[in-house]
Amino acid sequence: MASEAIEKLIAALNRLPGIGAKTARRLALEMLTWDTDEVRELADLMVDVKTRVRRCSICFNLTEVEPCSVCSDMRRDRSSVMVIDFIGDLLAFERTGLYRGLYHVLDGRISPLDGIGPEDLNISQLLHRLRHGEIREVILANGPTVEGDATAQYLSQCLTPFEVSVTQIARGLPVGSDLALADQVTLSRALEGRREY
Amino acid sequence: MMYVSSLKLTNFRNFEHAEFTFDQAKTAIWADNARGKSNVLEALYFLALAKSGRGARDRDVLRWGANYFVIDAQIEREDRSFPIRIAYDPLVGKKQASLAETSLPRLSDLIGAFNAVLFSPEDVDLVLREPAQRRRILDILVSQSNASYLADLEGYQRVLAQRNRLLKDRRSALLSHPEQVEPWNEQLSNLGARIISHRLEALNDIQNLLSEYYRAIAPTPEKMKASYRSPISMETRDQGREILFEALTTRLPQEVELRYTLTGPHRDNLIFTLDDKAVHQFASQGQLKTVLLSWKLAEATFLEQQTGWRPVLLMDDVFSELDPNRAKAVLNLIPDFGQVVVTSARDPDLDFKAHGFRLLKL
Repeated sequence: MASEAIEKLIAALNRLPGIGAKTARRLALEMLTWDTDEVRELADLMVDVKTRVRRCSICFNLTEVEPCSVCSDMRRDRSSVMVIDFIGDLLAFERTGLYRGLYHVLDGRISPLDGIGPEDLNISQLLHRLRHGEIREVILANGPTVEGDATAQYLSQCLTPFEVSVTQIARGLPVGSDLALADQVTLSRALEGRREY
Repeated sequence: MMYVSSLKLTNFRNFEHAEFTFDQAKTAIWADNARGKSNVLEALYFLALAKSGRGARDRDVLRWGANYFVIDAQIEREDRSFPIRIAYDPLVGKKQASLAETSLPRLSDLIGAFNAVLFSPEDVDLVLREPAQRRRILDILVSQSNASYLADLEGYQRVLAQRNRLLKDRRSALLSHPEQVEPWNEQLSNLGARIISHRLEALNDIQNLLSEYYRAIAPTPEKMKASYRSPISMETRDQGREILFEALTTRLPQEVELRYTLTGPHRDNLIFTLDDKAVHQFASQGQLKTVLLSWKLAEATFLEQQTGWRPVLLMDDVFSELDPNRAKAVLNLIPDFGQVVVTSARDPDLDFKAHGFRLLKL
């Protein structure tokens, strides 16, 4: 054992996703070689993030201002909302820069095996937005898993009373991959989703 | 035709390092008991299913004290020759399969690349007496001929587990809020109807083969049939989705009471009959063995019809288990198949060489 302080730091870093015991040790030892100011800056950044970043009360995006920069951007198409499972999915769509509508983050997928029911997701908040807004299209972009499909189906049931068009993003082949290596389910979904060329 | 030309085992069962070569015709593996004859067949079958056909877990087939196993094989077909490798590392807890030097993203992607059929007499009681095991042999047959079947089956199991958990956890709340169970009903009836429809079609295709092989082997003239008991039939399979959805909806109160799902392919039954009497209730050991053997031979022929490739037929200790007349009948059928690998403890009554077998002594 090196010192109690460093063991504590290693254990703390080890709690992060993707950081195993070895990486945690490497990071902790690396920090010892930094200037005290550099380390303090990093620590301050972490505290800063924690105190300043919140969830947007409308769409559950991460934000420092209320509402978030997507929800308050008047140049975006406010008639369309894309429903996604996790914040990471929102970031992925934003990186493409192609989608110009609004989002709604559910924060999970329905999964009884994990004890997650519809009431654990931000569904009532979505329905509230539909009741009090100008939304005309809901785009379901739930992950292509059994649980994602169940979530999408549950949502489509909830959406029937509303006068909105409900669409689902296409499922199919990843670009740049080899057709011969695709699994049968992906191929059949890609075939089902074919369109005029 | 399709055949295995070589097999290399590392830390598989009792083999630390072992290499076998097979020619495209018939091989008889000849050894005293406990030398690992069955393990060679298990390894060959592993290449087809990406798992043990005996239902063993991966760590159970690992040689005692070893920390990984590898099965390497070379497969020959008229159009090409390619290697298959399956490796298991218990530390990672994962098997990795590669086909033609390309590592496969999922194990299930291997299914269908190489087809084999295994008959093992130790399966007879287990397989024919247990409904779940009878469904399993049907699933093995269909999944080797249809790659999307296995994906449907895996999806179905997942949805079923989710729905059953919902039935356990939410219980009576579900009766007032059936909309919570509906998304699962939707997926379960979609996948379930596809699974049942494939099973029905496969059984329909295999029916004549079954009774022909049974008649060829059995000394007595009973008629063997396989029938599938399900809410969906060959005639109604186009409405399968609606039939299952309806049943899932109407039986919900009962399911909430019992806490599991009552309708679907997991509850269907495959029944083998001889002259319309169920074999698992009345048949003798000799009849049971002949029924399973007929199923396996029919499976091999079915796979050839479906895929265009003759699968490899693996028969574990079959001849010492059958009476001489049936054994002779089976030997006479073997020329109809492609590569055949059998095992045998010394058996002076059957001259394998005269029937064109190459002998491989362990």
